[in-house]
Amino acid sequence: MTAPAVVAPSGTPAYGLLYRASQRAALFGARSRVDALEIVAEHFLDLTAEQRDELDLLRAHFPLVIHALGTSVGSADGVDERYLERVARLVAYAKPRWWSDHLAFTRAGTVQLGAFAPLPRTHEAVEVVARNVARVRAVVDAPFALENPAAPFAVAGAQYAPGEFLAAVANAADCGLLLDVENLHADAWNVATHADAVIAAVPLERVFEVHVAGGHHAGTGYADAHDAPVPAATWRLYAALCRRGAPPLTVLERESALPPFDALLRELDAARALANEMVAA
Amino acid sequence: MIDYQRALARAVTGGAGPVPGVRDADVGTFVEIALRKRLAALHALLPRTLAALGRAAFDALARGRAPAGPDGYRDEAIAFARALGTATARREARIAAAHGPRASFAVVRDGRRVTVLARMRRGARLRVVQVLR
Repeated sequence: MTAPAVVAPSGTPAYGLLYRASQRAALFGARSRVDALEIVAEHFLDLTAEQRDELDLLRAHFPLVIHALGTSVGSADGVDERYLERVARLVAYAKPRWWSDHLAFTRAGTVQLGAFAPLPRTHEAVEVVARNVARVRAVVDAPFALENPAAPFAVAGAQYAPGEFLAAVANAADCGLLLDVENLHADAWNVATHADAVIAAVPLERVFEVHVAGGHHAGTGYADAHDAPVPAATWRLYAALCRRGAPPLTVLERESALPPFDALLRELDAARALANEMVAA
Repeated sequence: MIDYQRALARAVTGGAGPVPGVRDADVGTFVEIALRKRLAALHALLPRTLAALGRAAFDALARGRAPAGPDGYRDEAIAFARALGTATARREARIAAAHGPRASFAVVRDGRRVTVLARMRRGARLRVVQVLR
């Protein structure tokens, strides 16, 4: 077997935050405690003068990674070239370490679904994603990683277990992985995914980044809202991953209901401490 | 796989028919989640149109349209506002078309009238600062 062309960066593990402009002042006041920032591509795709100023400021002080929402790498009818070109311009300007999007489809033909729709875990889906990621890598000049989104439902006819599907896609597309352990926690509730089996199956050498976050129970399910502190079950999954090796970057992905910034820093410190403890053990 | 994706897209745009491999109840839940996100984005992009129409009428009209456009919600908002055709909606469509939603200013021409709008602080709405006739 040949070694993958795309492997996770080596070096000291880093711990970062999802960037929120509303907390910029507090962020710069605590620069030494945040190793990196993840920015949402869609917030900067226009590359207006204002956005360039903001990117200049951020990249002068933090390593950046970019997280996108609209690539739709699972679309059977291919990726949107116009969207890719905009991401390529953003990446060329911001010079992130890597960029990522979700292993899902958000578009079918000209219809924007407005949410991440799960792919069937089939050989055909692996081929579709590999083909689309090849186009992504040809247009956008930065390493690319795929995130496991939370599945709102299961699609019948799976030919792979969830972790094997992630591994098969990453190997076929020769790209990195962004493992969101909170989404695994949600999947365990909503579609009975065996989250520990996924963690055991992912090719660690391809894991560029990990997301930790918290959601909430809604009816009989669990909403991966990323609007709450990281729950114990998600920390347990993160610990299980770190037992295999600390990922290059862990990002606390708090998207809404933002708490005081100190609370985010404490959670980031908790991730750092837990990873160190697991690696030492 | 393309049949599954097209069927789910049809469901999101109000079409009938089953989605292969997915339970009907799951499709319904997904469609509602997608619709809530879409309407929230349209409300944010077309605040004056929303205020003019009222939420119930706005949402009813938006539900009846297929979400489309390579620029996601912004393209959809522009197309929706143009289709509504009211003066407010047309003006908001021009604002959205002329500049991104995070732009600090916009200049909108409406016949012989030119309107200059500016965002006074990040995250605030564009506000009219000058009208030239």
